[in-house]
Amino acid sequence: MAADAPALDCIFCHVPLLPAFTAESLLAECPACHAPLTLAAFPALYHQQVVGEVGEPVVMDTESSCFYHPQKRAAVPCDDCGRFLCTLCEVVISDRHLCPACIEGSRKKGDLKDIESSRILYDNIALALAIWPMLIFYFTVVTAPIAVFVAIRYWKAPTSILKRTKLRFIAAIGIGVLQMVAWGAVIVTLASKF
Amino acid sequence: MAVSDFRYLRLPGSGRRLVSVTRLWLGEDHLLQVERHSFGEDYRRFYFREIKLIVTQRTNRGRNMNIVFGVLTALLLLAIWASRSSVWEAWLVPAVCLGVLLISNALKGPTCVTRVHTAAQTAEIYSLNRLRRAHRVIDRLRPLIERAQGHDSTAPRPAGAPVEG
Ligand SMILES: [Zn+2]
Repeated sequence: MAADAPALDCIFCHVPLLPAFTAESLLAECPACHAPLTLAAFPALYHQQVVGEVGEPVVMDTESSCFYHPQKRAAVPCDDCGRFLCTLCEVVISDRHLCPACIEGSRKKGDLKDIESSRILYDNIALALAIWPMLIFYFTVVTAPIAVFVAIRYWKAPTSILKRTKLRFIAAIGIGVLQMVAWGAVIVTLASKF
Repeated sequence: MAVSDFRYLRLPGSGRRLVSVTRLWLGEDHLLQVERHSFGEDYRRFYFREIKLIVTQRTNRGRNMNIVFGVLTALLLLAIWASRSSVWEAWLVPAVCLGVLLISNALKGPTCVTRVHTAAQTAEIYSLNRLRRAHRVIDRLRPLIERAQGHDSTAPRPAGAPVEG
């Protein structure tokens, strides 16, 4: 973690607020432009920054060492793969001790909700493909099967980390199938005319 | 806090931007800021144990919006008055729409910018953009953050503890 904290400037005059702030008096205004402000301060503000651990060296031959750093003493096994990890490699996520490789693997599978920074909402994509092309109905001859395909292909893919139902997928499949049925009827009617 | 399979509780407020809506969710040990755009979501987490400061600064955006909506509504009412005899109904719909915008903006109260400051980041909470609501949400978060940081001034009395007096 960086030693120097990120700046906390006044949004109006961009003068740093933190140096003017003491534990005794909460700032009620910007010290430079006097714009009113409210500070909610928490104990972490007064805590010393914890210095990152460096990993202890292996002292004796009989000690187990880290899988990634053979010179460092093993501290914990990875909860996923069981490899021994030193304090440098060990990452604690949701009370589990994990190694970098398992974190990368879990991230790809969507198992580690607590470190993901974005998700694709395939159900929104499928629904948009089912609905918007109806504005110009001819497009649906192409988009309807694509919407149904996307809905089925990504049915089990990780979706929002917030609670979310399958309703959009179901709607996309329903609308897409209806459009395909309509096109089927059109084609059958045309074929019977000629 | 009871945590079932659903791990997040939605906090009031939403920050609308051009193509996205940002909302704040309360998790067991962190806040989750979710920016939802058409085909995806971006997440940002603020862990209670890391939050040093929450800063709220009042802005003039709400007041300016009131002025703009107010002036436009007044102009439209003037147009209705001036065209009483002819097609004054044409001005009525936009006048009512702007009037509703004006009232709803005025009722939401002053606007603000809320930021969370930790050792690693200073980030804006886009959903806390109205002063009254921001203060309400911060008051609600305060005991959770203090408890996570081992400072428990507002802890409820343990069950069975004697009551003074
Ligand atoms: Zn200032």
